[in-house]
Amino acid sequence: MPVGLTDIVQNIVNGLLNGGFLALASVGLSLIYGVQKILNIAHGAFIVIAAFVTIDFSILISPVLHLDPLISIALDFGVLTVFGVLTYFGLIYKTENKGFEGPLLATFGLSIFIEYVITNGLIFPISISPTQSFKLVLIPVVDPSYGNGAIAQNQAYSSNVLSLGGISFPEPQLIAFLLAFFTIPLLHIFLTRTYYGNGIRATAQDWEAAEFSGIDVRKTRILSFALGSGLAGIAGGIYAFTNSVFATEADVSLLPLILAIIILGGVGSVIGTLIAGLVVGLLISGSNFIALEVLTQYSFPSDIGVLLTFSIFLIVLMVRPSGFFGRAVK
Amino acid sequence: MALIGANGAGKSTLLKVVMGVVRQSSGDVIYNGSSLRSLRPHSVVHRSISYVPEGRRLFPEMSVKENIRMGAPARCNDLKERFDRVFLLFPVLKDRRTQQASTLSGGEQQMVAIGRALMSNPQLLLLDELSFGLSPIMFENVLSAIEKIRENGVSILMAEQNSERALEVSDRTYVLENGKIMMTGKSSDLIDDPRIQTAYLGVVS
Repeated sequence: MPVGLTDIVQNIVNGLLNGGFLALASVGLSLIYGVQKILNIAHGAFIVIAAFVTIDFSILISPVLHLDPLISIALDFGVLTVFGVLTYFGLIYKTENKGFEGPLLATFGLSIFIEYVITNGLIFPISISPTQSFKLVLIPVVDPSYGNGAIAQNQAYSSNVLSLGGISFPEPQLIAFLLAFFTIPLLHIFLTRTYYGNGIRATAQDWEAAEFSGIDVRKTRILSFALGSGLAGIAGGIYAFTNSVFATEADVSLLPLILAIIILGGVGSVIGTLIAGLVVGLLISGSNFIALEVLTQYSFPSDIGVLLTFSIFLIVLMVRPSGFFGRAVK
Repeated sequence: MALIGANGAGKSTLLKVVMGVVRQSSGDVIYNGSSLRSLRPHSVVHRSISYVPEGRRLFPEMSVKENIRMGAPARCNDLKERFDRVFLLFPVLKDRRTQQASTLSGGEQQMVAIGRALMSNPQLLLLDELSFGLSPIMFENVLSAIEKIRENGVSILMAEQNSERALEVSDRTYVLENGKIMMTGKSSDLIDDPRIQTAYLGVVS
């Protein structure tokens, strides 16, 4: 089948829609890394927790209280903010002044723990039968190949598809994109226009100077970790809405992309992360498109798109080691 | 008050200990009758002590105004008045308030650092190496601003490599060597002391 212009435009649209989610998934970690120089390896797992909170909300609470499942995204933000604070005091606080490795190993351990708990359905009742009374039903399925409850399938929030000149915009993806596009500038305004936001930026740029200027750096770090985790919560909610099937190991596939976006966008740069997220979204859809339409003809496997994505990322990194915007923009 | 002494004499360290940036291994810092020991730097600021560090230590990617704002408390009813006082002292900063701090000249950066320190309405201002990286003319400008700050009732403690100017502008001077106070007295007396003249003022006897 010949490749038409519509196919290419549709591909770009898909890439941008996905890129919005990727940017939102990354911006929280970028914030935390920028302020505290802590790489929270469990960030991807935080996203998965939030996705399951949304699934549980949709199954258990939405039908009873007649609430739109979209509301659960606010809940995700709250739950993950609290979870972030607990993680900070439980794991980070004691290790953050002992170098880079401490928090890295601690959060790596946490991500394995979270994955185990979710995979085995210990916290999230993902084997409960779905209720059909509400328009959204997230159907947890037990796929033997993933082990008990390791994979969840949700029936789409809405199967509506907006069509514009032959290009289709699936409603869930569109809502997700708009949410991401709304949240990230809001974060930017918070960081640049408010005292506490500026305190976060000041701490990221020179924490000692922040301290003797009168800023409580310890509180600022808790705030940024909580906020970054809360943003992972919003991303997780969006993830549950837009991915019809996902496994609890999703964090493993998300984390490399998130790290790529943070590096490309410049650590700690909110707007940089947004742009890098969109670029990586485009890169993924473009790579997959080329892989499917071109490379498979030369008997390459169809999933070579992933390889292509990361090859391009590596080349960009060689040319511009500190990302698109040079040094970290804060 | 001035602190003078050679490189490594402990001038900067002393100021950092007062601020709580460096923890002392023994001894205590008493201010207005209460100990500052074990206070974190931001709490020292709340006790009306401000600090202008060596090398300015501005937030390089924030604007002049944002940098200065960070010196004031989170909730501040008279923020505008505080800004006005800083801009009255350094009118050039008002014109450059939206400029990124890292693009300023050394002298302007020093003004921002002083302005930031004044935003907490300090009673005591600690100044570390004001002359660092400044041209003599710019240093004099900054010193005359410090003079005005003192006239407004703020006590000044400055650690300074430029011993001559430090002795000239201060009332009282402490001479530090290897972390110990070797001499102290009225600056006007010390400036004529032959030991000070040979050791710090380059006078050949």
